Amino acid sequence: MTSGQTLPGDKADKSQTNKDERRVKLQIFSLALSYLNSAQRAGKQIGGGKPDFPFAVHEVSLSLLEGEILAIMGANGCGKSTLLKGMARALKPSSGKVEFEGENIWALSPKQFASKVAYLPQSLQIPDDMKVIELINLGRNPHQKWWQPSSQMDGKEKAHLAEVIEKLDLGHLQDRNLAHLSGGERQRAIIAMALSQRPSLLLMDEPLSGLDFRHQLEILEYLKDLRKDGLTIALVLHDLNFAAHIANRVALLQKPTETSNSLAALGVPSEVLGGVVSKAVFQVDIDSIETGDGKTVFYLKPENENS
Amino acid sequence: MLLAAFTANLCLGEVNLSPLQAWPLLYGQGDEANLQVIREIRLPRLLSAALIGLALSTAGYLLQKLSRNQLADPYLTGVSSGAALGVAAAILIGLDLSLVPLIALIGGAATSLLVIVLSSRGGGSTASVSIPRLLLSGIALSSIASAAINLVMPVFGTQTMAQGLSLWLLGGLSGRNWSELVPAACYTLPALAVALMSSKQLRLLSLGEEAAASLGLDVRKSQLVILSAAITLTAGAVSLSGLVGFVGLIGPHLARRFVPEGERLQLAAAALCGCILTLTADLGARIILPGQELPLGSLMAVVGGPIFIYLLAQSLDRVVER
Repeated sequence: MTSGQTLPGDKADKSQTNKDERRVKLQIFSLALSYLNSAQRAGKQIGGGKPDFPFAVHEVSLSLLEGEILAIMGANGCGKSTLLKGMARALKPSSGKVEFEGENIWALSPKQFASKVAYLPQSLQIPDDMKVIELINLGRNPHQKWWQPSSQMDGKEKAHLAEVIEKLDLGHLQDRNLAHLSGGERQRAIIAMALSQRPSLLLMDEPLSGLDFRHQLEILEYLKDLRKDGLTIALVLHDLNFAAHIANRVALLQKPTETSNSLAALGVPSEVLGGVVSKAVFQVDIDSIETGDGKTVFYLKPENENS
Repeated sequence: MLLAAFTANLCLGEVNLSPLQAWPLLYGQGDEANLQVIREIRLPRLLSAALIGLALSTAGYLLQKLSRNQLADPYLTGVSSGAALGVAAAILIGLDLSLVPLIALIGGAATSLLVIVLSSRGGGSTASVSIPRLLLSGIALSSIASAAINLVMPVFGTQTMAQGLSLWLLGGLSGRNWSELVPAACYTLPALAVALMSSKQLRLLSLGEEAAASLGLDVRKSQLVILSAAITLTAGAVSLSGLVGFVGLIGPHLARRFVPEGERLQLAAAALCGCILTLTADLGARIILPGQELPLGSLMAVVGGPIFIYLLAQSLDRVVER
């Protein structure tokens, strides 16, 4: 296992010019995350026993640049969602820290953080009497006083919301119940809720799960559009080609152990995903071909065919 | 409907009055004896009934939303048994009976606070109150309190004491006057206001704790505020009337039927439904048997039970799903 090896990731992607001028949006300093408390980690909890390795994410350092899309990838259970939670202020670091625009995210209040960073967990429990417009309105919460109803907003805010609704083509669905929407429409409504927070960073955990190919592509196109508007995005993805299609960089994670860190590789998709590290992480043989228009397409081979 | 229930409560009883006689009496016009009946007996009693209906139904609504379970009941947090234990202790020690409401309030609130402490969850992820744990520790503490009453009462108490306690447990509003109503209203009504203002927080929490936090909600603080409001409302009601069941279950249920959407409106409707329910039930308790009073709690259960089962049968799948 080529553990702990990192590619020179912060060189950013080739399509971006003036990379020196790009600001760091979110920076992670040797972050460790664990679902166990310190007593449990030491094996002192009753009935616990000392766990093999108590951290779900260990020693991750990386920085997210303004306007880039970072795909977080890796095998099941390697800590992708956990890392995203750590970035989203949903899980306190066991050690290390996360800074948003130079400020420790845990020094911000929940509202301050939510007005800058939107986080969409893997699953949202939406009550079946909730309408699309109500969900989108709830995204205004970080900008409201606690007693204000979520639908109360001034002209400027209304205009922004109308823009969000138009961008995600939700106009005709506004008054529908979310329970009655298709998977793709539902996902768009959830993204619209996140956008109505007016974030400059969007964190998404598997936004494409449960969608068919067409809707997966559709959501990716929406996200590309949003990046053009200056939004920075980090998302957990499974599909190599989707990652290559949308991401400027890929962070490839592996399950951390005593001797190896979480971050197996970091860099542009074509280099990271087709490399040795990627094969080791996913435990499949990955090959790629260059298409005529300069794109890289990945395909998988069973290991025994490797001659 | 509220007005009708209100007027009927005002007019009917041992002295029957017509609405035309009764309303002016409220403003102090009419003959002295009737004035006494209306102002000192019926009005405080009917306002007490309205208050407990409103409080229990609102508390039930809050807990049902918080636990995402339509079968949640305001007594789940251990308020009732804590209050009963307090009252049992007061009766045993021989405290003045006028202190019973206060003791019920303290017992109920203390038990609920213990339940909340037991269900608090801190640590690595965002600290919050675990709702399943809340329900479980509520049930456990309730059992402990009831068992304690059952063990202690026969050993140390007299027959009269036991009767006094069981009368209180049955729930009723007989003889409630201003001196009991006013303090109860003083903390119940602010709690109702808090409940009405936290409808957005309830809605955010319904998306799941993680999503609510990502939308900038301080999950733990909101949960504690909403729970405290529910507990204050329930403890206030219990201190005024003893244990009156079913309002907290049926009130919110009716509200959801009449007002299918809009959290704040639904909450207000739940409060209103609770009012109408208890006003009607208390009227029944007073007039069904002339010259005798039926226990309000039991009447509520006898009438409310079948209604609830009927509603349940009609929308069984929805109850289970949500």
